Amino acid sequence: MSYPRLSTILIALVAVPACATKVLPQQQMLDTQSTIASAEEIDASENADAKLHLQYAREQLETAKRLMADGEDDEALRMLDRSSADAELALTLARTEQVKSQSGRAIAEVDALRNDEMPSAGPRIAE
Amino acid sequence: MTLRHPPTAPDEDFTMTRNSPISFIGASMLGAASMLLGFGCAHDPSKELVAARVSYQEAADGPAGTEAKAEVYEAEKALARAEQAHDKRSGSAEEVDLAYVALRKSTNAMAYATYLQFQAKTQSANADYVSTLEGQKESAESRLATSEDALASKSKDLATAEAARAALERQLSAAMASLSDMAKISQEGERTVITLSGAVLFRTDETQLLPIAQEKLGEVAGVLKQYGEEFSITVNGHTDSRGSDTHNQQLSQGRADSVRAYLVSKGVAQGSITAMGQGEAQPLAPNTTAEGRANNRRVEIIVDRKPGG
Repeated sequence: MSYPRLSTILIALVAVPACATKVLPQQQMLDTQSTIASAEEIDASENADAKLHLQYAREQLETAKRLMADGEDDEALRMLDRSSADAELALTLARTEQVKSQSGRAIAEVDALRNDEMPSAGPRIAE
Repeated sequence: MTLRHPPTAPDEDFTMTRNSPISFIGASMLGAASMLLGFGCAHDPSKELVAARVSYQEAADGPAGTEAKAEVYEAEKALARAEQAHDKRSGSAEEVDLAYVALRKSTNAMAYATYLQFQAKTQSANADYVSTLEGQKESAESRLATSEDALASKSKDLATAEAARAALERQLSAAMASLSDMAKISQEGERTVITLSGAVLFRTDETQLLPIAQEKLGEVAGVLKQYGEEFSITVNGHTDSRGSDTHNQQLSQGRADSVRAYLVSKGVAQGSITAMGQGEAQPLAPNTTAEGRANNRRVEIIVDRKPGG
């Protein structure tokens, strides 16, 4: 499941760096940031696991940035992979929580509708 | 969704090794020492890889294996990379990191399968809502159509009944008009009072109807019997003040009974008609003159429409 966003693509186009070795991490970093933002928009705090993985994603993203700044490209890439994996998981969990609530509401609405159903009696004309 | 495998926290050891070369050397020495002392084998997978393998298997064997194939495939590839790193250098930071990612990918696949299941439930519930609503609409339309049919039928019946009643009223009016030469007819709301002179109906001090009276009462009966159960009929007999009260009471009752019996014999419903002797108690005029006494000697046929009739 991927979550491409127009804003990500635009930022990536504008922010293409001169150094070829930095292109891939930066793109992936933008993607990860975008996924984190998506999870935050859905309000991942509703689900404890989603909240936790979102926190992991944020922290590992910062670590990846620091490693890149230190020139530890391989380690930075792997840390970015970890961050990206946690961000995607947080987003999926948040979306699952969201659709779970929607499902509960939809089922409750159907039940309410069925309970409100008028009895199929004969004509309401006084005999 | 509850994770079977608690998420591994950002690898603090991993972070530490990159921030502190001394710590990295120390950790390496500790690892080497552990191997020498037999605490672990150089080819043992890391706990992250073990968890990733278990999680992947769970995802592949569970609903995700059929409902989230693409996500399971991603997890499979991630696990393969971790296995390669393990084969290349067991226990390496690369193995740990790749296993960490593989574990997340597997968990993500399972979570996505759950997401799809709830999505399907939501869609099913929405479809149920629409179909229930449509069913209720059809049911309501059906009831409305039935009600309209019933209403139309009732209206038709009512119109028929009204027409029949109007015809009966006209018939009664015509019959009453024919009685006008021998009876006084008054109408008070739903009550019709036919007052017959005693001299027309009976000989003095007798209770047997005269032939002419029978003829006229026959016409009245022809109308009254058509009313059936809708009307109640009371025959009241009255006398003047001559004679004793007891005699007058008996005479008036006898005359009322005679009229009632005759009307019943002509078809008026027996249960709808009663006879009462009023004696001299309800005079219409003073009994001091012959004319007054003649007016007081009478029989009244009172026709009342029954409530709801």
